[in-house]
Amino acid sequence: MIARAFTAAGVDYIQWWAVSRALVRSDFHVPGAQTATSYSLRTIGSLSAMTVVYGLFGITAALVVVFVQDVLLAAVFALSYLTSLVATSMLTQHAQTLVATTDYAILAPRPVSSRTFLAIRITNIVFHVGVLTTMMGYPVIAAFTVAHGVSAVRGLAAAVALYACALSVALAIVTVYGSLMRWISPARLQRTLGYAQIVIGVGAYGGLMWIMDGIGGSALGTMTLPRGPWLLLLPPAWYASYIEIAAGVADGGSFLRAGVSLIVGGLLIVAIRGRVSGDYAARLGDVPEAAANEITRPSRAPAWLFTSHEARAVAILVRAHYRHDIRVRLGVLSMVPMVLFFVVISLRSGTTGDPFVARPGGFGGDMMAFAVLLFPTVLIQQLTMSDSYKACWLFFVTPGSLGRVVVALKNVIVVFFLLPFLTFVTAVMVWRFGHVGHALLHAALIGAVAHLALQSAGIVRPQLPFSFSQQKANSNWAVVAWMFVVVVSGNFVLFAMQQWIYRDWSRVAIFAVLLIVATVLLEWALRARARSARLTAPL
Amino acid sequence: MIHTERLRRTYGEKIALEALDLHVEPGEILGLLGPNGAGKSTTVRILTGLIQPTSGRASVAGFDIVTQPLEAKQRLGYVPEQPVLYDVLTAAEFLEVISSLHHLDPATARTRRDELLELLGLGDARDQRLGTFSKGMKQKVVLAAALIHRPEVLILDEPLDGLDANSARVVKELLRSLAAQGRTVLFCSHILEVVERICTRIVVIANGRQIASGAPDDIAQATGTTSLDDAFAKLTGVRDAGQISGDILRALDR
Repeated sequence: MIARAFTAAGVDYIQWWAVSRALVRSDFHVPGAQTATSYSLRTIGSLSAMTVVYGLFGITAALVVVFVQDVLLAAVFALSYLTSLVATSMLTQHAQTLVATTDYAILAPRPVSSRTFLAIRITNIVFHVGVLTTMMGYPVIAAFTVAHGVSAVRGLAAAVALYACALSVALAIVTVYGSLMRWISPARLQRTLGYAQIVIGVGAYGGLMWIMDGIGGSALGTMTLPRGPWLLLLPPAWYASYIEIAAGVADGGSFLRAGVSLIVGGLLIVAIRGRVSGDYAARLGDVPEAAANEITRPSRAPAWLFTSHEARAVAILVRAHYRHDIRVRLGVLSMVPMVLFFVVISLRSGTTGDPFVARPGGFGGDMMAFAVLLFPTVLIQQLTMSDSYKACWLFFVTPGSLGRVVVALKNVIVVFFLLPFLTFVTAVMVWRFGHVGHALLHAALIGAVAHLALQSAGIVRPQLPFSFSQQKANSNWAVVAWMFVVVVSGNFVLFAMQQWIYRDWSRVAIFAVLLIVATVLLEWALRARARSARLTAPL
Repeated sequence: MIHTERLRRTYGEKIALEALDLHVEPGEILGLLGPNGAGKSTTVRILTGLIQPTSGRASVAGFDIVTQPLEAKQRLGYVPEQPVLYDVLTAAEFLEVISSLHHLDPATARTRRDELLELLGLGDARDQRLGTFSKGMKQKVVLAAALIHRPEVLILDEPLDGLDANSARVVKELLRSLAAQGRTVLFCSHILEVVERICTRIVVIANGRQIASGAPDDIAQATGTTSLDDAFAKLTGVRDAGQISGDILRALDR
């Protein structure tokens, strides 16, 4: 029966099943496993690490569900927040599969129709959306089940709403991608639409922070979402109405919104089945020919800036990846929304945000400093991943010191990313603080703390640039734990700086001296650790 | 210039290499032959520093690859079996990275890079990203990378794979010339005709052990065969090729 349904849709069921299963296995493949047991253990470890990391996002939304009495407001917030995160993750990591040509080269010579090929890609994306939604959504589903009285039906409705909302967004993105591919080359689309992540990033983080900032100290529990026809314009509200219905607080508008969600879902399926899938494979086939003749400006590593040979090599690699690897570029640019949001928040609240003058309240005051702190630690992860990670054999067969390469990666991040970002942030601070000295000092201190975080990353786990597959990098428990430590301790340091250290200039001086001493000690420790680390080539 | 002593490597309980003694002198082109899974790649990976031996010793250009890896690698050029490269780099950038890792001064590196790319027919593609290159073009890039620092020892794993006939001729001639200059060449290939033609000596390994060594004619004579092809089949215990192909056709009839 399933096979017949697939045939009716123009998809070969046997081909679809065979390739989809192989893709899932390959997506969750963790390199290095020698036996079936170690493969299973590594896969479980990888999924566990991802569940913990993504679950942290879900906990934030779950807290809102627990505290907010208005079911619709809690549901709209949770669905908007989690769906934005799922969509962001999909755009950066999985939507690329829609316009990727890697498995096209394998499948194109086989008797696979364009529609089957697209169905395979969509299945892959939908599967990943399902996994991501599960990993981020379980705290929210649990919160809807137990908060404000235990109700399994409400929990079930929350699960249905969450998956339906996330899948609809995924299908909408697929439809937009598929339609645009008719006019724009997939290669250009891959580059251009990647920037959608930034827009979604502004929506996800900005929306959340805006709400939190707006709520401030007011009674979170008593807030409500005004009802009215305008909710029809808010897609998460369509799916949130499922939870309203299950909770027994639905009105006519709730049923109308639920109906709209079903109609839109149907329309998306019709759109994908139609013109989108017709010439999909042919469009992909054009990509290699278009790319073959593309000439690229060389990526330079100025000798005056990078004195060691290893640093020059790493600089060229990092620059080329930033220019041509959309994942690396987005990893860098995704920091921009946080800074923009700081500007908006400080403008809205009318405060300068100068931590030397007053203790900043709300999120906006801390966010930009936190962005500086987190930026290099997130970035170093991006710069150790690559689709061509096996190419790192070159570090092992050449006489460049692996230890120096590890240290060079840190230094290149400082020169290419941390310093320019800090300059940009300093300019914003000068404008907002209205005091050049305060802005420069604050920027220098948070820059030094960020550098300490970067050094500690190298000590915790010395890594060669672009030497891990994405799966392996994402599944490393040491990195997950270290990121957690950076976030917690970073928040603590920033809190201490703004609430206690900046109250007295002698404390500021002592803090600055401590930072210098810590920098020197950690640099020594990093070099020693990098020299003694046993780095192995992925074979 | 390449020496191994009782080289051994295991992966868990699987023995990939067992007590391999290999000696390749300057000016020699040694062909390392063996069926799939014989231990050729493991040998090459140990000699290039990609993995470490479980026991035994290996030295390149007089330097122990485990205890003096940087000195050994300064004198080593390597062409891997698969030309896996960073797709985002251009050919010129890749050679610049390699030159930096070999500590070549930028001016020398630039001159050699441009000449090598031109001579290997990649002059027009030097600023194209490697992700758009064909296998043969990538193979030329790794060949250039293996030569750019003028190594004393060359280790080449299937270096002719993907090359067009004219480029393959150039590479074969180049290897002979490099050997004539006194450089040491270790050549791994499955194409026996090529090995027979350019190698001065051959070592055959199977199941991680050396099972034959000598000039191609000597190996054929020692195995009572008339060609290296037949000698290889006899040494590695392969059934008659005609019989296998008949069995394959019968399997397809079922």
